[in-house]
Formats: sequence, C-alpha cells, structure tokens
Amino acid sequence: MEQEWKMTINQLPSPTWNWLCMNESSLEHIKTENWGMSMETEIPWGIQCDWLQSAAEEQGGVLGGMGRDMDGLAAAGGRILRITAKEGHVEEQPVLLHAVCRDGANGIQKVEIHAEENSCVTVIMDAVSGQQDSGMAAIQTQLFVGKKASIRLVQLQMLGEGFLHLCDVGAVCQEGGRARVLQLQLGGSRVYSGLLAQLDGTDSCMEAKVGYLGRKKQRLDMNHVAKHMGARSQSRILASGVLRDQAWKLFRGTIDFAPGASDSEGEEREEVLLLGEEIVNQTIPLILCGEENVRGSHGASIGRLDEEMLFYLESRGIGAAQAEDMMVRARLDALCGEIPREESRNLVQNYVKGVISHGKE
Amino acid sequence: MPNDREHKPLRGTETVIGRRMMEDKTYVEDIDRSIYDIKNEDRDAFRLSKGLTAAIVEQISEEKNDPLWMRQFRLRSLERYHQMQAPDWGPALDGLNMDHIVTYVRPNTSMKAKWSEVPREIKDTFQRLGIPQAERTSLAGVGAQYDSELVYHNVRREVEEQGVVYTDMESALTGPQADMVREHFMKLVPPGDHKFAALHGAVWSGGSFVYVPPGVSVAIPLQSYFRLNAPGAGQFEHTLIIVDEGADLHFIEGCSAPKYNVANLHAGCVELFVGKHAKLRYSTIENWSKNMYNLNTKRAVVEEGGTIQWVSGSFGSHVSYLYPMSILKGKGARAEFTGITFAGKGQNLDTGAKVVHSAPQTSSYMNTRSISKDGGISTFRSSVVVAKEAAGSKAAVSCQSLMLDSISRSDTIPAMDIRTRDADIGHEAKIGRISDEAVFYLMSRGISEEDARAMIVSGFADNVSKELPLEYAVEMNNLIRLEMIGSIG
Repeated sequence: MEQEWKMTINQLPSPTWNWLCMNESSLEHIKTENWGMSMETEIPWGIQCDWLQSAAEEQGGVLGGMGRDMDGLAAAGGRILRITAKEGHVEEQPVLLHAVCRDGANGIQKVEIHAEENSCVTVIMDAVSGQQDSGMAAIQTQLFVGKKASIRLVQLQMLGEGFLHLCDVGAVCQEGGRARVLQLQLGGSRVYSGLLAQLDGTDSCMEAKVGYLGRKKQRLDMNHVAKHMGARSQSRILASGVLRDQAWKLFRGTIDFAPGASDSEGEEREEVLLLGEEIVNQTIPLILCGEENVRGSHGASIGRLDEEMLFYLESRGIGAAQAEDMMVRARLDALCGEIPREESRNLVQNYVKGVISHGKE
Repeated sequence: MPNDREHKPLRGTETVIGRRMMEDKTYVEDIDRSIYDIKNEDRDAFRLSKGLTAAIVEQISEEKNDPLWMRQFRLRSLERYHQMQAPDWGPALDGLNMDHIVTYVRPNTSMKAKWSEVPREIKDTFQRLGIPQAERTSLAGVGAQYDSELVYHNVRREVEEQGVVYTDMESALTGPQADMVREHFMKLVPPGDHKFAALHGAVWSGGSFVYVPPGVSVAIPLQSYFRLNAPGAGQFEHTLIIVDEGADLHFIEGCSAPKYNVANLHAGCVELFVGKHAKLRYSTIENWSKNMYNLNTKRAVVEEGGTIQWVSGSFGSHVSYLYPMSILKGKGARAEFTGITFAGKGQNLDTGAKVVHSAPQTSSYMNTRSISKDGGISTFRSSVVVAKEAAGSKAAVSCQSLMLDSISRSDTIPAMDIRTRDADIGHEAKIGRISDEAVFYLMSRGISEEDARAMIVSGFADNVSKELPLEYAVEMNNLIRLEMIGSIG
C-alpha cells in the first residue's frame, strides 16, 4: 500500500537551543511503494539465519539511535532477517549481508542479530547501487548481545549519488556483552544514521567507529548514543571524516551515565578535516551524568590540513591537491583497515579511489 | 559529624579507602548563608501590584518618567512577551508564575552619592556585603541597587576627569547621554531574542550605564551590586557599557538576595559594546538566594582587534539560564570566557557561553568548571558558531565537571557550527569525581578528609578565582568553602 511518511528522527537525548537546529531532524515524503532492494546473504554454517514473516515474530523493544519513528518505517518493510549465534558458538567467518539497491526504487530492511550467551559473531553488511543511481535504502539493525557474547557489525554504505540512506542501529548488551560497530558512510546524497547502545549489563561495552566522506551537496546527519546502565560498562565513540565541496554534516554523540552505572567509562572523539569552501560542519558531543563514580570525556578536533605537513609534502614535490587526496585516503584507510575481510576492504578502497578521482574530473 | 578519622593511620589499598569514603559520606540539609540571608523588613516606598499587564507596564513608565520612545518600546516588548513561548530545552520553569511576581518595587529612598545618606537599614545590608569597604580599597566607582532602583552611585573624581561616564540607567536615559542610550539600548539583545528578553524590555528598571572614551584606560574596576530584598519580586536591571576605541575597563557585577518561600525572578540584561582595539573584562559573582529564577541575558559585540573577557562565578539561584554571548564582529576580535558553576541542593543551574565568529582571524577560548552536589543539577551549555566570513579563526572549548555524589547531575551540552574550512576548532570535556588518590595523599599529610576535599574543589575552581581581583577571589573561595562544609561525613 502506498504511504507517505513524515518522520522526526535523530533526536538529541537532551535538547539545546532551537536556533542551532541540532535537536532533531525531520524527514518528509518518505515513500514505501516501488520496492527495489534485495538482501543477499552468505551465512557461515554455524550461524542460524531466519526470515521472519511479520513483525509479530520479532523480539522487539530495542530502540535505535534514529528513534521510534524509524520503527514504524522498518515495520512497513515486511520480512525481518534474523541472524543468530547460538549459545557458546564462536564463529570465525563473518556473516555477509549484501543490500543491492535498484535505481529509482525504495528499499526497507530490518535485520536482527542475536548473540546468545558466550557466543561471538561478525556481520559485514554493505549497501550498494550504481554510482549515478537514486532512491531510498533504509536499514534497521538490532543487536541483542547476550551475557559475555560479542557482536561485531561492519556497515559499508556505497550507494549512488542520488540515494537517501537511513541507517538505524540499536543494541542491548547484557552482562559482559560487547558490541562493536564500524560504519563507513561513503555514498548517498542524504544520509541519516543513528546508533543507540544500551549497556544494561555489568562489564558490558560498546565501541562505535564512523568514517565518512562528505562531498558535493551531500548531507550527513548522525546521532550516536551510548547509554550506560550497568556498572563498569564502557563505551567509545569515534567519528572521523572529511568534508569537501558543499557537504553538510551534523554529528550528535552522547555518552549517558545513568545512576547505578558506577565505575563506568565513556569516551567520545571526533576528528573532521575541512576541505571545501562551502562546507557546514556541526558537532554536538554530549555527556549526561547522573552517577558520581564515572569517567567521561569527549574531544573534537576540527580544521583544515596541517600547514606544516602541507609544507613538508610540498617540499617533496607533492602539490596541495595531491596532499589533500593523500590525507583523505589516509583518514579513511585507518578505519578501512579494521574491516575484517580483504574483499570488503578492497571494495571500499576502490570506491574511495573512484570518488576521489571522479571529483577531479 | 565527629571528625575522628583525621589522624587515623591509613591502611589498605586506595580503592578500599575510596569505597569507605563513599560509604561514610553524609550530607547537610542546607548551607549557612547568613551574610546573604539577612532580610530587611519590607519598607518600600512604592510597589506595583503582582502580574504583568499593559497597565502595569504603563505605570512603570509613569513612575520612571520615561521618554515617549521608551514608553512605546516597553509596550511593544510586552506584546512580544505574550507572543513568545518559554524555552522548551532547559530547566523547568513551572514554579515561576508571572501573575505572582511584582515587577517594580521602589525602595524608600532616592539615589545618593554618599553612603552616609543612604537609609541605615539598606546601608547596613551593603556594609555586611562589604561593598563600601571594597569601594574604599579597590574600586573606581560603585553602583548599588536595592530592589528596583539604585540607592547609591558614586565614581572617583579622577576617573570622572578622564571623561568616564558611570551613572544609573535612568539618569543616562534622560541626561547628556540620552542619544547614546537610545542608539544602543536593547540593540544587541532585542526584545524578540527570547521570552525573557521581551519581559526585560517591558519592565526593566535600574542598572548602570558606562561610557569609556577612546584611549582611556580605567586602572581599577567599577562595580555594580544588585540586592533584591522584597519577597516575590523581580529585578530587571539593565547594564549598558560602551568601551570606545583603544579604551580599557574592568567591570564587576555582584548580586545576592535573602531566601524566601516564594519565587523571585531576576531577568536582567547586559549589553556590552567593545570598540576597536578596546578591552573589557566583565566579572560576575552571582549568589542569588535559592528561591531565585535567574534568567539573565548578557551579550557583547567586539570590533576589530577588541577583546571581551568574561569571568563568571554562579553559586546561587534555584534555576539559572545564563550564557554570556560574544559576537566577534571585527577582524582579529577576541573573546575569553572563564566560568565556574556550583550547584547544590535544590538548584538547577544551566550555564555556559556562546560565541559567534563573524569576521576573519577572530579567536575565542572558553574554560569552565562545574561542580554538583546534594542533588544539584549543573549543565554546561555552549555554542561556537564560525561563519563563512570568519576565515583564519580559532576556537577552543574546555569544560570539566566534578560530581560530589550520585544524587546530583552534571550534563555537558556543547555545540559547534563551523562554516569555513579555514578554521581551527578544539574541544575537550571531562567529567568525573574527586580523585581518591589525591584525597589519600592529602590525608596522609595530616589534612582531614573534609579539608582535603575542599582544597581539591578550590583548586578545581582556581582557574576562575585567579582571574578575579583578590577581594572577590577571597569571596568566591569562601563561598566554595561554605558549600563544601558538611558535605563529607
């Protein structure tokens, strides 16, 4: 059934001045007709994969960083893909999820990843389309991390230049559970991404690393939250990216220590390289603290290329433009190196290479 | 609490000691603020009825003999007030009902230039606060406001001879500076800025006007002190300071009130105009009583090569919304903000700063500390906006928060909006508790736990106190000590 959605997403956990326009984002005219995303899977033997037919079968209850409005949209997507690592199973091979998006079409997919007690699983999910394609690709991923279990999620977004991409992640970690998320947001024209990790269990932890390459008139809007509920929980959020041309980026990052999360630690860091003449870089890193015995920190370093480094490179015959390219690649390569699969790494590196050389034409 | 552990031998690991400290902690219900809490009997000469209507605003104009433009300005501001929404992003303002606030209370005296002529009861209040003494020893001029009007204003002759104008706002509005006032009044903070700026525009009363001519350096500070005595009243003073090209001034603002069971409101407004290559330091020690809603607006615009320095200590109020803003309009303009906030029981203090870089090669630095205890809520909120035109600008923000118990809250909400690639922006924030290791170290040298913690907190606040003139640094350290007494069992 054709339906147009209006959504309020990526709400800041504690709002600030409205004139800054950072408290939340609004999306209008989101259409759910003309389906056109296929999810191809490669599942290792030890991992269970189920397609649930309706929302009634889902576990539910995990809030993602984009908020409740995204749940409604994800429910409209129909079948839910559930990946399960059974109790005690440690899977060495990654689960591969390959979302192929068709030009002019809309795609919505909800994915649940369950790691039962003492299990371990890695999921590499990429979203691709033709470089000039447009459409919508919305993916909601929910992570259920059991006791002393571990989920590593790698999301590689290499959509076409006209795509709207919605990427919502919610995670709940039980005692000793560990969630690690690596996201590379490289394509699309409008990218909205949210991640909320609820560290319920004692000694649970999350690590989120985000890399992006904003260019042309691209709009990147992110909301990452680590909610510490359990004692001795740990979080680390790192966002690292480059803004070129007229790219616009808003990164919201929150470390939230609830009462009772004693001895917890949270760290957040953002590094932005500004290269475009007309870029907009918005950053709002929050620490919310209702517990005395915690340590939280955040830092941001935003600016242009280091002049000393430029001078050094120029003295070795490397021009400013070439130096810029080197720095863009170096920044993304650092995160790319953490992709635990060579083919996926190559895919990303080739994509970045293509984007950089395309930008020069 | 018995302090029998002062010289006890310490055993075990630091972690164990840390845990014992946490477990043993007790809390004092309230703080002795006797100096600030002395109430004078309500003997005002005139007060308006409670509430906010056009008739009340017209009555204020009548009382103050406003020129026509100001009468119209007040009424337009009132309209804006009714049109605007209260903020939906900060501490709750549920306990503030404008129908219960008296917006104008005239004390039973006119403004004097000699303390001896100020009515005894009012003079005694300011004496207890140390104002006349500070004037004698370390100030170039003093304005003292009691409820809605200034009761004392004086400036040293040598400063006057430099051409410096320091007077109350009402005199400036109708005196030789009338045109200058009209040109600048609420131009930097227009009534449409937010609901309480509109309120201020409608009912403002009192405050100070300062003009420092080009090239004049005022060697010692000027000070205005605001005292609100009447229960259920509002204070809406307006401070307008113009520091002309190449001039230099340090202005100190102090405020306090006794505690009542009903809500009081402070919605003052400070507008600072810093000329080319001029420098203004604006220091505030805010110690309103804990029934006060402090919804104050402070803003500075800085021309080419000029500098604004804010030094701010926030200790009082039930609820505070306070974010001095610096607009760096001229090339090479600079802003510095140094602040400390101490939120105790029943307090929700939302403080911070805003900077707008709108010219090339501007720079700003924010350095803040906040402390919360006994269920107090402290929020550091900031914004750094670097416009496209502000190439070559630099901004750095550093905020640190200290939590003294787990019934309190401390939040940090800094925003950055950068619209040029040619900028260097650094930001760092830390939140944590008093280091057990540091307490252990001090206790091992014979210092009691209470004193050790007070010393650490004072050290934490040192970045602000060292920026203040000695007398005020002493007052601030006393306030911290007062707040810390009894917080450790």
